[in-house]
Amino acid sequence: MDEQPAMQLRGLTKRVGNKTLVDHLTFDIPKGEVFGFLGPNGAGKTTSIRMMVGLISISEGQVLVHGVDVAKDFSKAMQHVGCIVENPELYKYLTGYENLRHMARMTPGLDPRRIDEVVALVGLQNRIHDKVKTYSLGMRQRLGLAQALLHEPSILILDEPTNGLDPAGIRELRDHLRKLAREQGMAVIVSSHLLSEMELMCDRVAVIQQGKLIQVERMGDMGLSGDGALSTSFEVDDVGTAEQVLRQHFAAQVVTSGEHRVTLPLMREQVPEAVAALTGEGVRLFEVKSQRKTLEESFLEMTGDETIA
Amino acid sequence: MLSLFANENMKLYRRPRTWILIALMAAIVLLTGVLMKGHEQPTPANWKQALIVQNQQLRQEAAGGGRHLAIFGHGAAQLEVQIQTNDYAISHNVPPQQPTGWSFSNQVEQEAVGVLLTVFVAIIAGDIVAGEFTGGTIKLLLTRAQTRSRILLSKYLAVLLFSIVLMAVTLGVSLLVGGGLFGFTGASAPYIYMSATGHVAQMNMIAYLFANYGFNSISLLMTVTIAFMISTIFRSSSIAIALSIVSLFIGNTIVRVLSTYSWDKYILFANTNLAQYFFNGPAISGMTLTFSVVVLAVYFIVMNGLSWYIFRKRDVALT
Repeated sequence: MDEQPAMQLRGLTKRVGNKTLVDHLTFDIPKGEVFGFLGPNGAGKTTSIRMMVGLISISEGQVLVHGVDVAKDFSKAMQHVGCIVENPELYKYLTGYENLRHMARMTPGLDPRRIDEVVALVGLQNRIHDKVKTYSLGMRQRLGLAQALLHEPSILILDEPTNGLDPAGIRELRDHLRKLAREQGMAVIVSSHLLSEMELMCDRVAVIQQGKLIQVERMGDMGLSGDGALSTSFEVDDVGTAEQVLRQHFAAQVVTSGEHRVTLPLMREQVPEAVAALTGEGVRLFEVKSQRKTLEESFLEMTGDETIA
Repeated sequence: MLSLFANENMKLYRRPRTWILIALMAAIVLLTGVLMKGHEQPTPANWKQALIVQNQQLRQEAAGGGRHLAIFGHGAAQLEVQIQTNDYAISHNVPPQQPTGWSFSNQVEQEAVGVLLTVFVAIIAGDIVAGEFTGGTIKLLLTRAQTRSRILLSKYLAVLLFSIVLMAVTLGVSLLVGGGLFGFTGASAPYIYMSATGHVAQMNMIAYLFANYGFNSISLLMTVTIAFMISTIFRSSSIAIALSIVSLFIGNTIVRVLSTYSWDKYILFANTNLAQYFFNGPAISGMTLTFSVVVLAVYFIVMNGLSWYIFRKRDVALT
């Protein structure tokens, strides 16, 4: 990799007493991608994120932000990082604008005009001078995002960002995050225990369980783990012949279901061969469907059946 | 640093609570003034004659060695204070019980709102750190490019500013109310008192007023520091406010109860009243101003050091 990753974890560990909550996490988070921390509750996602933003101390290892050690030069490292840990935290007795001004004052040298920019970015112009206690949850989420984006960070960290959001809010947030990653080259880091959500949002996920890294995978590759065989089903007129033909060609387990469907595991390259064989024997073919393993299946495969930590 | 301080002040003064405390203080001072005016006794026509008679009796007493008062230590000096106060009233033709704007301001602080001032400041100091934890907003403060030390310092300074504001409001309102109700006469009248060494001394009424507020601000500072420390350590506003107010009320009792022990004088509350070294002498003999100042400084440094150390090391919400 010629370019330095946005964020690097090097043997990141958190111990409390004799319990190890996060155990030697090592991986890089590239720029311009939405990166997910995926794992069941209690896997150590939030603990890792809190170490990455300096809320809790690091027992062992390092977090590097553009090469700067968070533990050594916190202020310098945090200039590049915007975050929302759990809920967007706001002062409810202040207006939205005052909340942003409060945030702006904590960043030395920030142009006050930037406040209006982020307000426009999250679309809160009409309500920005109202007190936050009158805001809906969705508006609070937007204001939280505005706070996190105010100082133009190159890394955005969101812990369980979709908690408490309705489907429309989740969709809005997802589009927003993808846009930030694509258009501004921002590294967006999100954590979640919801697979379906991560599937739609992330380019890459780190699967974490019991404080340990199971693996880091590109989202598109996830369903292809194992031997790479896809469950392929054929809708045919003559199930009996089809089953026979397929058994002859592929020494695999063929399952018939209903009157018109046969299913068997096939590699992607074997699909045309199967189609040719079937039509060659005069079987009329109506539909071919290759199904990837769902993310859930591969996730469970990766994490095994271990109970939640 | 200045912008962090501005932030803390914005958060403080944009809340109605802060203004309610300030308004309440002003209202109580006003109410005290009105009540005092209502209960004012008319000065008897022969007040001068009465004082002359009283002084004659006091002089006899003094000549007799102040037998009845000698048990209090400086009996003769105390008699002399009363005699001179009366003399001043007679020669300047001012009835001694007549309140003035100046004496009202003093009285209201010492007898009515002095404790309240400390309680109100403790409420603000006890919440300023803990409130961020309960609200979750501490995460905003600690994940920006600012060190924890600066965050904490800006909060401490904001509380100090609030203390000064509240004190200034009390002083200002009490002077206005006192002056309005009783007039601004008597500014040149001396405040006659017995010094710590047992001699009769006097100072200007206005000087005495400021001395009074000044001494009170020392104990106020210590209460602020206690509330702030508890707020930082326990992250609970209610514990911080309750404990610091309780300490304010029972502090002196503790000192008295433990007076048989030699280490009694090292207790914080035995030292918070520095006025004792200027007026009437120390409550525990053998204590000096320097001793108390050193003890106060040690407490101040230890308590603030503890707040600072714990705030810097704290893991924020490890779950």
